[in-house]
Amino acid sequence: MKFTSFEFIIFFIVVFVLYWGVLKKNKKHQNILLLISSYFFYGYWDYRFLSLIFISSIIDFTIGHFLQNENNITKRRLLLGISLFANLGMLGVFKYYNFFASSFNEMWQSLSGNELNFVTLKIVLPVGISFYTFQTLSYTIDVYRKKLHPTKSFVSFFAYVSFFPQLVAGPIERAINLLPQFEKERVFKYEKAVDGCRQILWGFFKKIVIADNVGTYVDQFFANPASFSGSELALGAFYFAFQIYCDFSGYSDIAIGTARIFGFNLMKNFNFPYFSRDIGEFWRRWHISLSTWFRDYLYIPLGGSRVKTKFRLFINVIVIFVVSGLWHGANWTFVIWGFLNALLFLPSILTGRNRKNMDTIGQGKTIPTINEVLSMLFTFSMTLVLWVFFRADSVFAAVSYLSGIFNHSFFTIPLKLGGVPMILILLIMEWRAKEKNHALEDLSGNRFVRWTMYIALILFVVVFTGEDKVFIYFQF
Amino acid sequence: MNKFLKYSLLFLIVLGIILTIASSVYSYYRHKYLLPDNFKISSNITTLIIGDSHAESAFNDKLIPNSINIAFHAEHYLFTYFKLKKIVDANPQIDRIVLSFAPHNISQGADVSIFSDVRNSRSFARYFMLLDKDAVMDTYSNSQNWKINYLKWRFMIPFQLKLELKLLFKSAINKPLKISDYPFIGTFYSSKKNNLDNLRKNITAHFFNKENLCVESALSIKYLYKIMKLTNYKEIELVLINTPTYESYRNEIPKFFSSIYSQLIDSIQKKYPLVIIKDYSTMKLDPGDYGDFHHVNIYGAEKVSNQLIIDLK
Repeated sequence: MKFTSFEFIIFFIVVFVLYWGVLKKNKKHQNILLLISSYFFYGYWDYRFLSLIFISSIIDFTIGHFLQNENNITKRRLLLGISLFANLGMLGVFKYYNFFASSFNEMWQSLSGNELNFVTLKIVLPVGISFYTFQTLSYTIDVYRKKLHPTKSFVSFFAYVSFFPQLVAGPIERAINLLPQFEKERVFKYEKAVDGCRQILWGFFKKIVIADNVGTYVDQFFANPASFSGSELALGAFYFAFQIYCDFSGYSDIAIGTARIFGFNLMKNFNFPYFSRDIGEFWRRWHISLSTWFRDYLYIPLGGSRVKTKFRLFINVIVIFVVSGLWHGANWTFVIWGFLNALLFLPSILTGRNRKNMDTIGQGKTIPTINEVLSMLFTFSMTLVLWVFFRADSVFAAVSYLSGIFNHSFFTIPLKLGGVPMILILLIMEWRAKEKNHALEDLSGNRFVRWTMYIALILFVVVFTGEDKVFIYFQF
Repeated sequence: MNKFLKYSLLFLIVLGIILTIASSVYSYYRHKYLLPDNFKISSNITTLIIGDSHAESAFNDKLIPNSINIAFHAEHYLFTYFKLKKIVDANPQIDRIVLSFAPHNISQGADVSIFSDVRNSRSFARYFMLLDKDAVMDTYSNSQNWKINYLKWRFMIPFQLKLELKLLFKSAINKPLKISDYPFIGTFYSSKKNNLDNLRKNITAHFFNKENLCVESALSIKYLYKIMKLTNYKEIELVLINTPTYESYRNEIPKFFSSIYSQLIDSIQKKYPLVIIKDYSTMKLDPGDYGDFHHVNIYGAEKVSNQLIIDLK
């Protein structure tokens, strides 16, 4: 079920009424309701893949239980290994098998001249598999590390894994943050619910008004780049940067806002990433739940930045970015995208300057300094170039798209500027709220002003709805 | 909780009132300025060229006397029918319709322009002014987004805000709207492109759904007959033309569709003997006359248009 569908509105109202109206005095019943509704939410897309979530949940619930009673380090490692094998195995089969099989076929053919015909599978990629797999893994790893007591509640754990607001596209919640919230009483708070509604509205605006709108242009630019001038292709890359940001962060806003209405606090997933002054800051602000997941469960176990040699650090950074690229999709374009991000990030980490911009740009000020603007524009331009690899169908297509940008036609005035005014509205709104959780968080003033703002945003959403595009991150 | 419900309800009431007022005002202006008979074309135009990209690229209306090419790429016969209905009603001088008619037009591949979610939204946005309720229900009930689109259509919410505002603005400053202002009106596609790559992609798009062969489109055939009924009723000559296609493309058309296409021609000739059917698909052209495997470019269009002039004399 998509957030931007009629079905979701009805689903949400029914669950809300049951949750706060009928079951408000019993947290266990509320959890059962969340579990059933989450399975319904996911099964509405394809009920067959519910079995994967169920299997993943039951494995990690059981392993968590065994880990609690096991002190033998070898056995603990074995249990963790089973969880990793089962979860990453499912992810590997459904998401990566065909990619590696066909890449191996191609490599074999180019080396030996013979066809190998390594068999590929005719399978559909289950929506959100990368998200819930990482979520369940975080539970088992944290229990293994003794950072978290395993839950005894089957319902709480299953509801945690399948929690519908963030099930299919994150934020990838840690068990340590979300699971305890299922195990304590939840009280309806007016301010929290209102803030949730505001964040949902802002998410819809970003997804429907901006992402879907500029996405139409992006499709045209990337489908036939040879027909456009350099400036138009640059505009296409610019639009894609905002399409993917608004699409994904819009989803996160809707997820976080929905969870807040049900009394849950999800982690912040985007922190105005295009206001970053260097690539390190960008990655601290973009898809935070994934970056921190990789940091805690991959980068640090590899030694992180506290390794003995610069070479080892170099390898660690390359590994984490390439794996992060591969997480996004089984295609060489994502691997290259991750690798190029690593190359951009390496100079700052190797010189120890990767954490120099830990505060917020223009903190406490309305207008940033020239230096801040220049470094922000430079960082944004770098990410823009890399997004082309993310969006293109192949590495060759990305290179040819980029070569189409950098020629004399780059200096012509582009057509198809229709998406720019909306992006400006977005930037203004987000700039003024850059130290907040979302653009509408600090709306103050009297009710008339606030409601006018809400109604204006809703009108935009109503007018722009219908040209519907699937959330990009669903495919990951 | 009560406070939240109270303010939510109040907000929804205010929102409902504002949406109703906005939609009523917009509906008034749309009816006043956009929907009336602005479909008038010049009185010396007697031949209307219509259909999908095949007609759009093959017939140069500057060469064909008293004609106008209003074909639009990927246009389904359903949309062609409603477009035609409005235009022939507003332009009684029209005495001939030239409509592209090829095997892919009767494949379910043509229905993609209606039923796929993204294309559906775009088609709906482009053609909504023309459709009646039956057409909306007939087609959009098969799409994921039909409920949203139906409601937008029903409650007069702009589909293409920029476009509709542009039209309204033009009307408001008393600049009469021309037929070419409407989003569903195409024009001759004058392209010098000559791209004979990826034959499989073209064939797949027309006749296959992923790897499976499409079936015939009942919806397309239904509206093709409606077009014939309409032209017959209005006593307008209808010319169905299969425009030139590259030999390798023709050879790849699945036999199933060649056979259905032939049967349909037989059936049309029995039911509407006055309908003229021309097959230009095998017309002798140079490779440089093609835009791609199934469209001619500007050079090919010149030859096709001259042939049409001769044939219709």
